[in-house]
Amino acid sequence: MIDTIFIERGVVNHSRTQSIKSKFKNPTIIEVDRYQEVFNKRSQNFRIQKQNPALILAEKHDNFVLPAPSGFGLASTRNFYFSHMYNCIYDCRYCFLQGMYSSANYVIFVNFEDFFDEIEKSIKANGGQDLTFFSGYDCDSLAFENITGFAESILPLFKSYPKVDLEFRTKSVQLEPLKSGLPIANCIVAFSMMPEELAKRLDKKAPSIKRRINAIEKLAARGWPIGLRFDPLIYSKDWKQLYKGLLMEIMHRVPREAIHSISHGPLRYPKKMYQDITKLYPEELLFSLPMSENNGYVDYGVDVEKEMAEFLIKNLKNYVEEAKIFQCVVQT
Amino acid sequence: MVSDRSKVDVSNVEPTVCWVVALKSEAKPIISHFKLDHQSGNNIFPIYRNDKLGHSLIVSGVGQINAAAATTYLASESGSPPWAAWINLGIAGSMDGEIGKLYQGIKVTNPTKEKVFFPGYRFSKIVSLAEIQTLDYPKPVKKNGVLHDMEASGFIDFATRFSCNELVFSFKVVSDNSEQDMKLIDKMMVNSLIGNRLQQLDALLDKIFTLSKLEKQRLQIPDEVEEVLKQFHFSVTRRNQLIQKLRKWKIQFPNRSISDLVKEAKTAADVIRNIDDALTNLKFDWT
Repeated sequence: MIDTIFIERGVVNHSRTQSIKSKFKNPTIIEVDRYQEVFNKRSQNFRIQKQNPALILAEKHDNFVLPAPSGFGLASTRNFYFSHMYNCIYDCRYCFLQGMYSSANYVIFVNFEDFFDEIEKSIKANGGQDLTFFSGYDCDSLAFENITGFAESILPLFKSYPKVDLEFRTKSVQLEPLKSGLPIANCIVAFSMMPEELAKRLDKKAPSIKRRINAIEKLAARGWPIGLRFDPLIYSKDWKQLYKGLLMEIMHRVPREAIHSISHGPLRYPKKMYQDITKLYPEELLFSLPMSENNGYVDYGVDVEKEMAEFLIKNLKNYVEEAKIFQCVVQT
Repeated sequence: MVSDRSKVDVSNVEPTVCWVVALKSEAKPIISHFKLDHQSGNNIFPIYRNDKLGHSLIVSGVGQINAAAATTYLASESGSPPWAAWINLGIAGSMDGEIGKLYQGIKVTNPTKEKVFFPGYRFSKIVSLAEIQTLDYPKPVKKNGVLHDMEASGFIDFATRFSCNELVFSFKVVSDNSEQDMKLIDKMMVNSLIGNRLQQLDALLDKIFTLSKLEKQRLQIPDEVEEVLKQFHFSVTRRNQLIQKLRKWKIQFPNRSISDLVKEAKTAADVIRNIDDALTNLKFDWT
């Protein structure tokens, strides 16, 4: 439970600030000039802070919509992402956010409408092209939905642009407003997946794979397009057996017609990020396993990456057509 | 800064909590509670310690500059490790705060220098959280929920250079408010205000020690690494490589001795190669 909310003076009276504040019981409220004075402070300890993150309510002034990093995306010609929130309520050990931000506090930008305006401008500026907008690059799209109501606010916008895709990337089983709303064909709910045995070790504080599959089943039954994201692929002695088991379970439970797309990507970090994360968790088994530096990135190496990708595609081909399977290798 | 380090043996001492307190009357209850001994020597600031319990305390005098200087002096004198917790404890003025109530400062500002800090892991289940304004002179508080003190900002500015921000704390007991004038404050009262909060401070210290231990586990160089470093000549780069690689090796082989890796090695490079070989041949066994 959030015990402290830092609020930028400029949004103290914003209706969304009031609404978010009301979701917490007696939080300590501290006013700040700009969110960066809390979030970007030197000497912060991400790992300790992660035990009790504060909430920061702020206004975003620019860079509402950004081109997705090279290698991140599906079939669209142009891919964009936006982040109404920084950081995540889960604590996945491989997550790049712990190496990207010095703070584990959650930042929510309350001026959603400015995001929507900029998204609309981008759609109009790229008229006629296949576009996908990704939510959940710097946070989990749905995990904080009961606090922010962001998904509920943005869905009508994309309903009015049926040829432009929106992806919510999530591990959450908090299914509102999707469960009670009518499905929107161009709004994809994409779940990050890995074998349960690995998720138990790595996806800390996140719903189990079993619960995620239950959630997928429910949303698929409602008619929402489903994305499956095997990203990152985690290597282990018995990875083939583990991933095969996971794929069998998904194929058994989720009708193939519900699948919009499947993407996969290797475990890979820019060198500096890898160093920062391993310093935070030097005792972590994940980082004691052999990874090597290749062209400024630390990864399992081309052979392992290729073997895993090929295995996944081979096993998915009987489930969905290959055109729905994408490899995601982000070059940040 | 002049010190007589020969009088203070720091070789086997590992203070885990470093207290910076402005007044002797504020320090007395802590000195007594944790049985701290005065350190003799030409100390610029009086220092008290109990190495068994892991506490060091320095009496800084009033004001931000004194607090900053004393913090730096204590770090230097005690050889505090980067996982030490730093605590600034003292009295503070308030407008609406109840006299005698303990607060944790989670936003500390210095209006003169336009500095702002957000120190410490927050312990909202044990203590109320507040904003502290550090001023150069005593001044009545005109805003609810804000405390006035004279040291916190200077203390935090420097303590966060010796430990991480989450292990630097400012705890204040309200000594005066809109109904009780600051002129009534005397040594006896200060002593009693702090003394009455010892139980609450113990509860806080319990949690602080846990965080400090976690940070120690993260940062401490294992003894076995020190042994290897003594046996071979390692450049700075190779030393850092050794520490990182041996940590990984130890995670994978918790029951094996590092001597296996060094017994046939002739140089530092051999040691690192042996570790690399052991790690490369791993089978990624997770389950």
